[in-house]
Amino acid sequence: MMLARAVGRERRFGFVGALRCWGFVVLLAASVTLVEARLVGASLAFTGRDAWVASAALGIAVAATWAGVVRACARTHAQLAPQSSAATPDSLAVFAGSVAGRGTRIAAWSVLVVLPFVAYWPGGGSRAIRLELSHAEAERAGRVAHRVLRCLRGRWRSACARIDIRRCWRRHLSRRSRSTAVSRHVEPGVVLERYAPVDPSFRLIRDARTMRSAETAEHYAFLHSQTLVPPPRVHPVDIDFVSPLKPAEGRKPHVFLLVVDSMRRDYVSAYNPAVTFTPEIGKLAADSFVFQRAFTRYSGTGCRCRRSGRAA
Amino acid sequence: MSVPSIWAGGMIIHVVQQSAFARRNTLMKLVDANDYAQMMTVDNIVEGFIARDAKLQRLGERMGKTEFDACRTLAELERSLETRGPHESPVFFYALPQNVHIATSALRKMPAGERYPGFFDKVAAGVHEVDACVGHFVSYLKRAHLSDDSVIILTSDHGDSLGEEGRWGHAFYLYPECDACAAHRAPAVVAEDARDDGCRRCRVFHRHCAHALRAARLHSARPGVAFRSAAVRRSRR
Repeated sequence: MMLARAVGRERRFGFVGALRCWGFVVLLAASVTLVEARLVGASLAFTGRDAWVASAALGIAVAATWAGVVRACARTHAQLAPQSSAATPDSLAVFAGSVAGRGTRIAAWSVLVVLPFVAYWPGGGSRAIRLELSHAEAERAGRVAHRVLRCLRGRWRSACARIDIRRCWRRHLSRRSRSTAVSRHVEPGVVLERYAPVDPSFRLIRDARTMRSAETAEHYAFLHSQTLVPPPRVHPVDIDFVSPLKPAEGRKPHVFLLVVDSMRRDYVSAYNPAVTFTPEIGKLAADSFVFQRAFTRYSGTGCRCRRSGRAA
Repeated sequence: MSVPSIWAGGMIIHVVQQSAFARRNTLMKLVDANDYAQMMTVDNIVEGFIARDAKLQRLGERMGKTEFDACRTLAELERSLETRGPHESPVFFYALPQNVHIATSALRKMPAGERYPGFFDKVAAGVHEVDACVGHFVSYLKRAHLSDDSVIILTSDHGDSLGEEGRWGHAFYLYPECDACAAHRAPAVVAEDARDDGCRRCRVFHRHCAHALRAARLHSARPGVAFRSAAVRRSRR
């Protein structure tokens, strides 16, 4: 209804303008749906019909909201410049102007190009989202963004004059590399924000840190009060786990240690006879030691356990 | 946190980025004491506790952590091994490939008709991918006549919950857990030429790496705290 009121009955754009506006709204809804389903839903293993329905609902809602803003902008434009009301305003320019403040058609169409591009990053949909971009990709993305802005700058000079995206990006990269090289300590908040969209348990940890609702605040305050570990950060005890070592005598074999992240033992044929998809590991295991009772010392990923009371 | 515990050979305090880890880094002590050339993928976990010296050759240098792929890494390792002379120091290789990680698996495109009944398809496909690469690498070692002088340790840090009992998740909700403790069971396959009595049912807490190296006679010193624990008990299968 909102969509229909915002766009369908909008007469200021004229028939062709309204038609174009409709097309833009539909494309915007489709783009948002695509991004939501491919980027967010898939990364949470939320796929299938339900995921597409939910994504489509979100896409329509976003498009409707944007269309509502456009309608308000168009009305304001008519009130502020009644003398020019005879001329039909450019619907796409108004669309872009709703967000950017000053609209161009190229900016409007760029939105539609960029959104699916984000969902289908070069290399295929499977590479659509990363927990972190590699340095080379970050540089490439920065170059692309700079070129796009340079193209737009001719028509959009006043809006872009204050923004030097390339300088901002370089500053971000240098800050990032400096922080990893010097401090070697990843900021927990950054890690949590990065992982939270793809991992429910990280969302749990993030909630514990930020206490975003009364329910979680009460829950974690209780856990915190019950833990035996005091709130200040726990520093590892600086001890030698083994005495100073002497080199071994005799031949020294090559050592190849492959730690496959998140590989469950029941997905390996050496532990589960129902597994038929690891024939090579099975052959290796037949000729190897297979530890039947191997336990990880601590299996969580990146938590501050004292926050949630698990250290107790 | 299981990754630092692998390197330490024992339980470590609950932070991933270990500060001043050198004294607890048992595996690196073994490697250094025996003058190994290191070929490793360096992710954000290990970069804090390895020395960046001439002995270290980074594999997958321009990749982010989530891009570490078993096949590409092992292929790069093969190329590096081929360039080495017969009298150069032995190689210590470490990698943490992400083929099976849920963030990678969830986005994997499954070929039409490829199904793994009874398993989570995308994760099983990731394991299958790793399996093929491991097989290829083992074949290479045999072709290059290196297999008799090699210890291969194939293990994992933990497993994800993949819908069991309605739970999904990577960090807190893990499967399969053991019944009475916070740890969970991990796969550990160790291939080496010295297959004598076969300690196949040792109860090991991810110190099996250090244990395996000790079995390979790399660890000549008296076992320290990490190795003396009663948790390691040898028994025949």
